[in-house]
Amino acid sequence: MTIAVINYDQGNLFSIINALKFFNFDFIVTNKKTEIQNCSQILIPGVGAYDKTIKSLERLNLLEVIKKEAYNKKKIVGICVGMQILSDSGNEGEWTEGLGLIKGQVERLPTTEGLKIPNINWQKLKYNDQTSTYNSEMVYFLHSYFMRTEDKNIVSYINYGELKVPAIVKYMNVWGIQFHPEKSGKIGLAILKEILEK
Amino acid sequence: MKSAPFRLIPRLEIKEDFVVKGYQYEGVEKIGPPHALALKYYEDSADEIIFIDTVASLYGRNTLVNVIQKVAREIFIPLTVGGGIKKISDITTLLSSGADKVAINTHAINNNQFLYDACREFGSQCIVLSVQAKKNEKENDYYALTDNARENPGIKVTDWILKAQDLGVGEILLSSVDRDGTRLGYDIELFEKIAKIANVPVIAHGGAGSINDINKICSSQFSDAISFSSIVHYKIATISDIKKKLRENNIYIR
Repeated sequence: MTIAVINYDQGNLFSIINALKFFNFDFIVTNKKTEIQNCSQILIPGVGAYDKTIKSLERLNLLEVIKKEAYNKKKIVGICVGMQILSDSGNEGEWTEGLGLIKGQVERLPTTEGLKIPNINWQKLKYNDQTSTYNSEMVYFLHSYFMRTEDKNIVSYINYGELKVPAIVKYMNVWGIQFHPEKSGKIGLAILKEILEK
Repeated sequence: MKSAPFRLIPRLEIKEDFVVKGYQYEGVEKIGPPHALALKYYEDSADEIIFIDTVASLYGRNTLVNVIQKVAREIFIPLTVGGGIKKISDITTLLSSGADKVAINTHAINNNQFLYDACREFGSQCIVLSVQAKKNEKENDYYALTDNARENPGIKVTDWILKAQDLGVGEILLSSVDRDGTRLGYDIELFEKIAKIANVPVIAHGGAGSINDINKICSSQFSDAISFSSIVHYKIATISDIKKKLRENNIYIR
């Protein structure tokens, strides 16, 4: 089982790589089509803007590869902006079409009493399945945009004022994590490990 | 009412491979090696850690790359690094060494365009404006100092923060120079003043000497996070002690 960590020359890969090393996961850091095809799952890390991230992947000719592997039932895990680009579109920077693997749109967080943007906070996860081990655990968020998607795609969320902001989304073999599991202490690491091992 | 928890952030000021602690940014005492201290605070439930190279501005370079690289292998919470950052490539180097955010003071004041460019290049969420606020008693107002509080370019803290927010900073690390290392408590007046104009998260720093000081600033709700050094460096209290007390007082924390 090898994880392809997509290197699109924008995200900070150091932290996510440290987290994978911490658990002795077998992984490669790559932007080569054949290497990605040969791996058993794909991890899209992310720091940066929606439009820039899509453009980087486009420039590296990776959009189609990722989509194709997702259709072939390979597990895809996106983190932060890597999660957001799994959606149909985003309006950060220029309006941009996403990978379209999870039905939804990425929008700016609404102005909300008592909360500032960017949302730089440890926040409490609420799982739709309340028996989840991680229900009510706190994890670290750092974002200004969020994915608006149907409830059935939402594994867990945070309350952001009146709004439910998705924390973990899933559609078939595609997973997205809005927060930074690699920066959320031991709980974050455990959540990441579980998703990668599922 | 805040709907997000206060973040508790130990701050490690580093000089030549050692964590040090000064008094109003002058004179320093050696505390210990950065890696061991950072690991200890991580295990003790720190929400983030700030590393500041205190002599970087003087020598024109940040020497924390090796420290961060080592620390980031074992510490999985957000790491902010500051001191002597003056080029886009300095930020790239730090971020690719394991830093999540960078704190910029001197070169943001001396070169506003650099701050703007940094926010555009890396995103606001990555760029922390570090402000060293010094009170002018006569004017009853605060000025933003540079070069580890050695220079006063004559810019009022309020004016500078308003401008920096327009330039795109995502967070403000606001330190009281007068209270630094004194253990006299946070300068509530300063943070109240800034709370009125800040539209990005503010981390309050300077003067925490007891759990009570921290309780006071948290209760005031004039900041979104707090940082501290002496209280943990000198083992006056652990982060868990502080959190326990805050929880008892119904302050929302992790």
